[in-house]
Amino acid sequence: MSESPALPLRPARRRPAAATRRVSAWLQPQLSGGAREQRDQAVLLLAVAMVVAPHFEHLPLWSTVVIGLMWIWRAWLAQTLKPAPGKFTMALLLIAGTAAVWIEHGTLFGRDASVNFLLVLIGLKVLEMRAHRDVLVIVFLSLFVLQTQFLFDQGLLSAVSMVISVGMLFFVLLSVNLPEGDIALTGKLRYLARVFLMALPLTLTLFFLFPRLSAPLWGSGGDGLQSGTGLSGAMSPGSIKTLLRDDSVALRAKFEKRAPDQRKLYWRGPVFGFFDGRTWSPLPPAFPDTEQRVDVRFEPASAVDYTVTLEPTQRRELIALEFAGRIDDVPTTDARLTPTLELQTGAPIVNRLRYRVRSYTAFSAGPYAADGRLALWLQLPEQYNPRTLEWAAQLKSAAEAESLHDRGSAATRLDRRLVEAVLLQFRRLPFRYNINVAILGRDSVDEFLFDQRVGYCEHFASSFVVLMRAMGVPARVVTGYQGGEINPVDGFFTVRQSDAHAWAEVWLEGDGWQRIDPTAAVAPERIEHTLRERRTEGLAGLQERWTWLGELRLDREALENAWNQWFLSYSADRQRALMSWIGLRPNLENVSAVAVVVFSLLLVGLAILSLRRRAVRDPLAELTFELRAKLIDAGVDVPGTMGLQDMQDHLEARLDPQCMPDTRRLLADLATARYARPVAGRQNLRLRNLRAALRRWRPIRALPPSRHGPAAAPASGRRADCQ
Amino acid sequence: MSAIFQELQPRLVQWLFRNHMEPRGDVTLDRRRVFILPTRAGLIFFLVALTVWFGSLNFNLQLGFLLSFLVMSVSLVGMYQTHRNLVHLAVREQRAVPVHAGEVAAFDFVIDNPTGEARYAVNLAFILPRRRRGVSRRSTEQPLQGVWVDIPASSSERASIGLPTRRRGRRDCPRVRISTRFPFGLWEAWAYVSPQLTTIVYAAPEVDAPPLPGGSGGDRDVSNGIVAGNDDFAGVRPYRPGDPLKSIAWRLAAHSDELSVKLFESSAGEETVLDLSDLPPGVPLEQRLARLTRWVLVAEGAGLRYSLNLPGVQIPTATGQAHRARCLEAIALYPGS
Repeated sequence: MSESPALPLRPARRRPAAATRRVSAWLQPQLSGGAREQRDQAVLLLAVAMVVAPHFEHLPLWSTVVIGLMWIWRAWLAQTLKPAPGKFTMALLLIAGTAAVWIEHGTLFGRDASVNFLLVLIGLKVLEMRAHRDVLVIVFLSLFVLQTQFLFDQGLLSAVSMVISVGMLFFVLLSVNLPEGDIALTGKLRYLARVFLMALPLTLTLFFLFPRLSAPLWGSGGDGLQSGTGLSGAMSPGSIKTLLRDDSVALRAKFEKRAPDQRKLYWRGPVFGFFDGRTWSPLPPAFPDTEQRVDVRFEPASAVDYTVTLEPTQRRELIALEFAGRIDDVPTTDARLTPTLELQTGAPIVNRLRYRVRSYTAFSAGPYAADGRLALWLQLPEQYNPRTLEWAAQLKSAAEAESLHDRGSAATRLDRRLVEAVLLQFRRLPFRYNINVAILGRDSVDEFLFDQRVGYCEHFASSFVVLMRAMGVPARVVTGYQGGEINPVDGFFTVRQSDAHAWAEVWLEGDGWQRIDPTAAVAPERIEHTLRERRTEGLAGLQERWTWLGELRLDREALENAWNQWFLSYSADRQRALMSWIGLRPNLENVSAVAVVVFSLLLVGLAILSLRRRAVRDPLAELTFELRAKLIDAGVDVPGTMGLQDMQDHLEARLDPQCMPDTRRLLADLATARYARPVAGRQNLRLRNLRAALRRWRPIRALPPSRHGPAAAPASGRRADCQ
Repeated sequence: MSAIFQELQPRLVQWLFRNHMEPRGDVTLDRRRVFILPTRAGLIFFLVALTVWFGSLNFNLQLGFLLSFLVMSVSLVGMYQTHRNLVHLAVREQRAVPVHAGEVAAFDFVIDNPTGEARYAVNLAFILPRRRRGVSRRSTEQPLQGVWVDIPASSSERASIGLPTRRRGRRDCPRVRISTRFPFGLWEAWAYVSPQLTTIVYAAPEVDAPPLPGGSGGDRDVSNGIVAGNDDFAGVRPYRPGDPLKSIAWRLAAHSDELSVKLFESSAGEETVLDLSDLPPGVPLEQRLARLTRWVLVAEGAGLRYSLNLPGVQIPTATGQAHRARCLEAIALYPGS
């Protein structure tokens, strides 16, 4: 039929290309069931992909591939409108998936296994999705999957992606709840945007005011959630090296006044006193309960006040500048100062923690007089590092001889001379600072001091302490962070894992424990410069030379820090602090009361907003009203009850014939707009045209019958201004 | 406990719906008439959000808190939106067209949306007596029956709900439940409307009925309606859908834009009397009524003049649609045995 040119029934129009059809299926309302279903399924698949994709980073490869394959399979089924696989296939897949998870993790519980299992489940559910109910199940599963992602990452990006995903899930819900009619894409998006905007104040109120509990409900909560990076409980060869390459943040600090000089920024961490030849570990507590008090002398003028936000470490040490004289606002448990001046809490730090510290950068720690327990700090492994021991003996006898000869400096005690002597050797001999060295052999100190002479803080601190101990001076290794970097955008000081450092402390009679940093003797730039300055010398520094890139990084980090400060570290304590800021007593009752009040107010506000019946004026009625007003202005009276049709007859007699064509057209248009079937999207245009036509329209009263004489003065006046 | 509840339930329901069920006929769904409750999906959704919240509490996941609070807030806003999607609509009754038993009676309504917001996915369904609903219980999961309408802003939409009929007689329009789950399906807002519409369900015409009684006894094609015998040509009238093709005056059609139908009046002036008592008493009453119904249709279709005699009801001789309706109605309402 359509080939026949004689029949103009079907105009020879090219069928729209498949791509055009697809785009319009996405944008335009769809009335055909098939097209709608395809589109809604595509949106659902997209939402699921968005929810699942962040997990691929920590999923085993096979599971990523399997989930991806199921997803693609489903997409193919949806596009070809083929039925989902049957029950038998699904059961088989489920068993296979469960078994695979079991084999991979050895369990179905625990973080990684359960996340993996959940993802396999959602993959299967997507594959077999059939009905409305399945869509709901997938949406619900997606919410769980979204949450599990936060076990791995709670950064700003995760938050943004979460909000987008939730938006898509609600988009899916919106689409499936339109059983027959449909709304164009932009309409749906606008609707969703409005709903989310209304939900925003509710969400924020709940987030900030819903009573928080400070302790986990069961288990140790975050135990094993974050893989622990950071200082460890022992210093074995290479343990610091991995940290030096890790750019992640260890802690952030905000100094109340100026930050101290870079050289004074020693953030104290674990202290080690026991050396087995390879690994430094803490001294076993020889005198566990007796005399825990430490006699610390400090210079009050060197006080620094600051707030630390510590990333979770899974360890009990709080990191602070040496020496932490006072510590406040530690939310979890009592922090105490150990005899080795470490700050410890009762429980491992599993969440980001904020606390205020006052530190005294100029200090020394007791005991100041010789003490039997000091012998513990002289421990050395037997049969290790013979060359070092020999060298130590040489150095010591030389120093002794010198002190015998040099009567003038008799005041300088022997132990101080020994320290000086060793540091002098470190400076004089060709030692070099370099991170990239191989792990040393059995007599590591020997190899470092006599053969390799290249290393980093770990080597310097370790061999210095071994030398001092060999010479009979009590000494210990202190690990922590050195330095940090100030972000000029927000003034926060950032200390990274790569700022990890190890230094030494020696006990000098009368002066107590004193910090000696042998690395500084060899590579003073390690201490004096910030990380970034050091970097510019290496390969990693290449990108830092592009200053804008560096600035971008600082901006991003300031943003992330603000996110961490204001959002992620929000806790029960911050909530109570908020209460006292409002002026209420910071307890749970007040938090609940404020939450209830604010939330109720919001609900009432929303109710008023949505129940208020907008006084909708019918635009056409308004136009008709305007038309009447114009006629009355022109001196023509029109009864209010008169319909459009009657009005035309009515006006034929009363208006000047010359403006009748316009009038007729206007009335006809009004009637069309009122009674004709509205064409989607056209009604507004029609109304706009009508409004314009009405504005142009100038009704003129017909000349009154001759018995009134020549045109009445007022009428002619009107006529003038009407024309 | 349950006994007390069972005792109280009817009174509770009565109290709840006291003010809202009374008005019959056209009704505006103001706030007091619109109910809202979470759907099953909504309850599960809330449980999921609660679980997410609980997990966040345990693992101290700030973003988990944010997620659970966000979805809860959005679904709460959804509650307002669902309510808003129904409230202020006005349901006007329009009409109900009579049908024969066994057919689907359509009750037409017009739903006015006087507000400036479009309404989507509004469902209208009859509330049928419990025994008819049968399965129920799981009905929340299945898509609602009835019809769906979208009503643009400041506009009206027609909704026609079908009601299957089985027996002749008067049929009142059942109560209508007008409901919506838009936008997210987590809440359902609904209202009841008790229409005053009534329709007559005519008796189902008898299949294979005997020919019309009386008359000239000519060979009549009763099933065609238009009599095609060798009777006199009585004129033409404009074509109406359903007229047999062979009765169309094709010659006339060639000269005119409109189709006409040739009318033959077999026995002008002669009248057909349809009398229940003339039918053999051995035939069951319902079948006799069905036969009469068929005859009325045939007679009207043939353009005959006919009268109807039922015990207690006499409809004098006439013809035309109104007459036919009167006759069919009289048969439909004839008291059963």
